[in-house]
Amino acid sequence: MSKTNSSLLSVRDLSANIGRQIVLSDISLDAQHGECVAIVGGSGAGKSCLLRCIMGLYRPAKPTSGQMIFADQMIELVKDRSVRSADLGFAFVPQNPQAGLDPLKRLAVQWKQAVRCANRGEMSKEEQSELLGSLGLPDFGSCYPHEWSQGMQQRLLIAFALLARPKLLILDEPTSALDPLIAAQTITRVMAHAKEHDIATLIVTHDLALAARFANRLAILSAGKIEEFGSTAKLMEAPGSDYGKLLVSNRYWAHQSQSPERV
Amino acid sequence: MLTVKSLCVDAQDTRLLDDINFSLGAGECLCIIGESGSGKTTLLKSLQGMMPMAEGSIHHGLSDDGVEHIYQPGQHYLGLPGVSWVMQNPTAALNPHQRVGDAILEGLYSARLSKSEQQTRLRSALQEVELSEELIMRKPPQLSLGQAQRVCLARALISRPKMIIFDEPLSALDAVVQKQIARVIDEIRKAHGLSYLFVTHDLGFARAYADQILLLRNGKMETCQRTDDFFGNPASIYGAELIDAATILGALEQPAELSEEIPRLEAGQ
Repeated sequence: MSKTNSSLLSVRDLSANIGRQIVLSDISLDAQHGECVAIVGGSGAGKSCLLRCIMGLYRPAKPTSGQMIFADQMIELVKDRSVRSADLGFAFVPQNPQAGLDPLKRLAVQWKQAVRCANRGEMSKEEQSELLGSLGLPDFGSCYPHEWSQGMQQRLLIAFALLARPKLLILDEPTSALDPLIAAQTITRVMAHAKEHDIATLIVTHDLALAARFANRLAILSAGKIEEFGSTAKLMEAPGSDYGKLLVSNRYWAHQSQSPERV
Repeated sequence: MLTVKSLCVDAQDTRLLDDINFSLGAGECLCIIGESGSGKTTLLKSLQGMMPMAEGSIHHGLSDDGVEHIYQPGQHYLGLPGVSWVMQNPTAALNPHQRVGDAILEGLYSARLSKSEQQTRLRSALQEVELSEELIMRKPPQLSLGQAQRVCLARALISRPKMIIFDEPLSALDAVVQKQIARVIDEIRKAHGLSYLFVTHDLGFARAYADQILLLRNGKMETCQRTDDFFGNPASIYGAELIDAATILGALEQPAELSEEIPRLEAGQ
């Protein structure tokens, strides 16, 4: 059963610096159980920094204030420097699949390691192969990561992330490394899995059209500030902030009549 | 203007491109679409003479004398006359130590022009890509990605080409900047009647700006159709699948009603 009215993740007043430069200021966000929240913003808006701060990866950006409540557990972002692990219910899929796989180990070995770390043998062989099958992945055979395509590597990382039965799945630009065909298949699959297992998802993307297709709520991030945070339908219809308006009017390829504003 | 007839390209024993045919008229935009490894960049390189053709011919009517030149296998050349190239990643395409003004003037490398003529061209190129003249003293790391891509575009334009080849010029940029640059690129085409050969992943872009769509898969040409035909009635199954995928990802405007059914995943894709 989904607990619809309780927040799974709630971030309050997160600010972060790189050196002396402020990259995030007063970010407040929340995600319900089983909900999909998208964070949308241009390059350099601080999207990835925000994710890394939530994950407890304090490089390059270091939080200067803020708390986070995750599954009724209070985390002081400044003091608590531990990486949020799978034990807590976090799962993170990086933007670049190559960043997540060891190029010198066979995939079968890496998968076994992931299984051992993630759920201490809770998941049966059948369930494992069902998970891999549902993401359209073949047998590992004796393959090394480079013998698989980017799309397959990306989906394998998603499978790694889902192994631990996370409560929150964090996807950093899930489609940017993939061809549209594979991207569409992967993201629909993952969203269906998340829905089935009541997993909340946090998607970071620069593509509002993509975010609007999948997210229940959208946060628009610009220059380290949340410009707007609200339900997708409402935000797409009547964006309140200037940057929101710019994103909404530019979400599709302009036909000749609409000319995008200059920044 | 540019006609490619049954072009094949080999690398050792592998056939990289097999029987590519298309014809590009003056002022037209042809979008080349295909997944990674399908031969998009190979096609561009073989057109520019950077990879030898194995079979086929390129008929090129862009030069100033108006005579059609025919390039055939075994003929060595580097770069078709009157064709410029804009790369995918603007930061990699610019020398970080070179001032922006000098970088743009490199486009005039082979044209012998006086200093004053060069400066006039530089100013008009900057105007067309909507960059302010103050930027010419900066170096590439001081530019945003969008500005850097505009600089690359200015460098391609300054030699007054008849055709520009774009190799995914928008994929390194974020959604809003993509659309601004796309508008600039399209306005320049209209203003000068340029032909574009445009490699892209983005079907949304192709639908908004292309006249023809060439779909490549595994080095073979799936289809080459007018844009309206392609989106109304794609001649290949792969094309139809791509359109569905783009709709799912929200890249196409006015998405058709989506079925709740999730597309089947083929193992090994």
